[in-house]
Amino acid sequence: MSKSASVVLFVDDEENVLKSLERYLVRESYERRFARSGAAAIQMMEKEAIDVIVSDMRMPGMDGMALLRIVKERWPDTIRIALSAHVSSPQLLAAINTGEVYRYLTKPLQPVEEFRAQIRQAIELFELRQTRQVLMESLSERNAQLEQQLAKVKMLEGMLPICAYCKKIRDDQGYWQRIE
Amino acid sequence: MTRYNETEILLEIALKVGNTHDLNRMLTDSVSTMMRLLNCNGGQVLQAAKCDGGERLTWDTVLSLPRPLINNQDHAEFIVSAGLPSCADRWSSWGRELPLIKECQGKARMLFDLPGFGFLILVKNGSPLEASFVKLLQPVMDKLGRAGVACVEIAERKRTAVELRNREQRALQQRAAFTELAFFPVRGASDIPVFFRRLAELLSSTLAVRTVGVWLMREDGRLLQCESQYDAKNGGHSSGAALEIADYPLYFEAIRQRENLFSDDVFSDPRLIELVDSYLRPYGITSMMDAGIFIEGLLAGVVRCEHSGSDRVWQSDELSFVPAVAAIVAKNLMSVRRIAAETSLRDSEEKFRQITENMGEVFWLRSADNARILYINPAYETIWGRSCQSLYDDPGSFIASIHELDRSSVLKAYQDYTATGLFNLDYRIVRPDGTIRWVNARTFPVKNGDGVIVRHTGIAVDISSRIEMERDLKHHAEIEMLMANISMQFINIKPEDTQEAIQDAIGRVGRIFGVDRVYVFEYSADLSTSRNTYEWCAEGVEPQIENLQDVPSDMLPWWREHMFGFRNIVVEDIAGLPPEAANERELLSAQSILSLLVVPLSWEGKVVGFIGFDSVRQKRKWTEEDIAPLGLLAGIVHNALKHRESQLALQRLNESLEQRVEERTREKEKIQSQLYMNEKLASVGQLAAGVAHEINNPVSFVATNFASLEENMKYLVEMLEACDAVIGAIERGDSGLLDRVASWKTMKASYAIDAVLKDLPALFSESRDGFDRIRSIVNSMRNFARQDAPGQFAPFDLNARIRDTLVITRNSYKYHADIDLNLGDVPMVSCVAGQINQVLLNLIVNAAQALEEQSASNDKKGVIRISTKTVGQAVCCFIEDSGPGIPAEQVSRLFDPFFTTKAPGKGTGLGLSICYDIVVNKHKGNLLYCPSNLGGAGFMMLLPVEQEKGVA
Repeated sequence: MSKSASVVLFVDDEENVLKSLERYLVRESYERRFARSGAAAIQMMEKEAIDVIVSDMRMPGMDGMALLRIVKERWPDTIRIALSAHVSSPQLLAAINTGEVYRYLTKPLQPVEEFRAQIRQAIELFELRQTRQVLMESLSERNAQLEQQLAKVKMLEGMLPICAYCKKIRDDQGYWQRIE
Repeated sequence: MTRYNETEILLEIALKVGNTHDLNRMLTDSVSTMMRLLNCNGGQVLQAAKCDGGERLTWDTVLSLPRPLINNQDHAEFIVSAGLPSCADRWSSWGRELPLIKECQGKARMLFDLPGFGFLILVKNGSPLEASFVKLLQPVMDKLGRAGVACVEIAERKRTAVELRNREQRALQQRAAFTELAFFPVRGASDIPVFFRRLAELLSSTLAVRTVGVWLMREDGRLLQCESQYDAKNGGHSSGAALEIADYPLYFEAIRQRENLFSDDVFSDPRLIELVDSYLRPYGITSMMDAGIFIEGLLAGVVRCEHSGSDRVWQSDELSFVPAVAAIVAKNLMSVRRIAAETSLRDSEEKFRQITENMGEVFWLRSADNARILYINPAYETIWGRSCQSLYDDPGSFIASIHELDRSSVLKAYQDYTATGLFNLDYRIVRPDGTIRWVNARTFPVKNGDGVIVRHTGIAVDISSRIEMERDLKHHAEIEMLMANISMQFINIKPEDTQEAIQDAIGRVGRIFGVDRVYVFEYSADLSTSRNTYEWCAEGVEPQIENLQDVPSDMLPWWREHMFGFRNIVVEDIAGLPPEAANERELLSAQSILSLLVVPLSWEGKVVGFIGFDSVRQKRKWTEEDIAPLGLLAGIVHNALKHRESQLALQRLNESLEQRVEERTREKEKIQSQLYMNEKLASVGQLAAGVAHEINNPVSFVATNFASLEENMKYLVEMLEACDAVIGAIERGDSGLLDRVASWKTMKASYAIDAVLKDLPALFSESRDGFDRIRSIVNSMRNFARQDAPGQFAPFDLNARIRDTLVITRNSYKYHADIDLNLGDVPMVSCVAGQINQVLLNLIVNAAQALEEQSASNDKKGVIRISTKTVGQAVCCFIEDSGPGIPAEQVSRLFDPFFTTKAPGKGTGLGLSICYDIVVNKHKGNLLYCPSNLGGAGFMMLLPVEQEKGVA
């Protein structure tokens, strides 16, 4: 699969948090983008395709939930991850049950080592979905070709005294005789 | 068209037809004259009609036409324009009879009577013309717009003849009417209305006027009221209309001065100007003849004749006739008055006699010199027991009948009476049989018009029973007063005073009832014995209380039966006690009791004792007036005894009650402090979530940084080891040195070592920042929660605590509000730190919540401003916000417990009430709501710098 590098967007109103993530993910192979607010995040997504978005929940102005809801609507393929220091169960439940998020991670990240794996899984999921999409498309293309061919065979069958499936031939009297 | 001159036409026609008796000829002439004058030509229709003197006009009687009639249709149109519209629709052809319109009937008849003129033609613009003309009917306005009228003037000669004849006739009529009225029988007031009716009818027909009325002055000459009025037009009688004399000064002045008022044309008569709009015009009156009715020279009314229609010229005979009739009215009215006066005098004499003979009071008349009795009514015989005749014979016997004790005061009063004219006295008289009666006598002088006394009149009433009743009432009132006093005395009596009060009460009752002994007995609890517990004896009566202790109930079965059956014992004479009461008789006789009255004392349906009166010195017949108060006394005494018992019980109860109140108070305080604690916990809980978030952020990035550092260190160690390997290779002179260096470089690149190293200072500074934040929050938390000595006043740095509170509440406002701190240089205040912290927390969080709601709706950050300053001996802290503020109607309830404007679950409603309690009650400060000039709410907390000694 030849594709440009995956892109992950991190959104948090706290710069130190973004900095620490940037630092921690310095050796990751995917591209990393950082936004300080929901509005900034949407601007970025309009310019560039984003595979995975990781957003803080409590932010001034547009909060994380609102941002993810917009993302789901406009960029449904993007994998959405919530990251919040403020774990309130109703918010969490709503987020998961309505399918707004793929994962709901808590601050501080514990254990922090798993975070890389979680991001990678999200990217893999994104790529898998993309692949499946492509496969599905090629499959349906093949199907269409086969159906065309089948129709052709059926048409020919009516014209020739030969049955290609049961390997019989029609004689002059009109009876089917087995070949062999 | 040629305009015609009406006068010319009239003259010409009159000349032509004035002397003719030939009707047809006259009509022909006049019509042809008309035709000529009007310059009529073919198609013009002129016609004449004859009146039969009745109700019809016969149209075909006379027709004179120079040319043939054109058609009937034209004729019908002509009728319309000639002003008989009511008949037009009925009219369709010649030869038909046409009903006369009502206004024409009278005229028609009159004209018909004129000799030689048995016809009538009238109508001018729909209304009849003057009767002195004979008119030819013709188009007043035809459809070509032409108009004309033809009239024939009756010869003056004929008119005079008729006038003379009429006058003669009128004179006859007037004489007949006058005679009838003069001899009309008026014997009393009841005949007057009949007289008036007849008068009105007669005058109306005699004078041929529409209405005739008799009006009399009423209400002291304020009104002129119509007593009777006849309307010839509808044949009806009416009365009641009234004119306010004050409203018509000109009219009445005229009547009074000239006695009569005759007017041919009321509208031009200056004396009648006032009547025009209010009276004359509404009734359509055109001519009027009023004759005044004068009695003893004063205007008493008017006889009024009213003519309607065209003006009427009153004839001289008529002008003298009406005042003559008015004079008859005056005469009759006077005679009626005289009759009435005579009757009323006769009546009043009879009434006087009936009243005086039948009244219960004595009534007399004395001569002016007091020497003779002029009259005395029979009541004297009943009350004084002496005959009236005896008093007539000997007026002095009256003095002899007065009780000797009162005689001097009566004589004195008579002396005063001659001076003052007032006599009103109660005194006793002695009847011949020796019985005494109380009387009340009053005397008045009777004066004539000159003020000279002509006689004396007096009245005397027997008041014996009243005096007796008053005495009884007085005694009764005294008893009631006493009982009321005693009842009052026993209300709220102290237990220790009860005995003395009962003793006092029975004494007072005994004295007022005039008994010899009053006593109270109480039964033992099992009712087997009774004991005399209170006794009062009249002076000289022997006390028995010593002898009557523990009297066995069995010993006195009759007595016991009465008491246990709640029956009073009423004994007038001990000797009359029944045989089964032998024991009682013996015991009572031993106490020399003659009569007694005993009432049981009961309590909740049980007999507990009795109370009684004894009469020792004389027998006494007990009446209901003795029994009822004794029963009342029994109740009072009994209540007093019970009251004493319950008072004692109450005292005991009270003592335990105080204890219980104390316990409840302690319990209440405990509940209150729990409530406070709950509220505090609730706010702390809310706070904890916010603080957790605040701490979590720095913890999060510091932890991540730490993880990065750890990893980086691992790689750096690896790099150092690789470095060592390179150095070793260099030392050993290893041949693969270059390869090793290359691999080291690769490693360095893949580990992003350059970036890592470059980033290290940032990593450390950011992490340090994170640590600082955590430390600051934790410090503030500790400061906020610290209670060095719980509940004790200690110096408190308000500004520092405000900053702490802002740190720990940061999460509640940081997204919605900016903080504007304006802290002045304020001294330490003496506070319970935990409590004031709670107030600050509450006020800041409230402001933050108000702004959160606002920023949710408008997406803008608000401001929370906190200012402190010193005000005299207090420190003032003002916390305000730019939120929506508090509606005026809610301000008064702000500090009420459980009052909240927040959504359910958002607040307990206790926050502000607790703040108020803390600041105002615990710290003797003040907490006020002052709307902020930022637009939102503002709370001003004033705390005294020094607290008086005490514990909050």
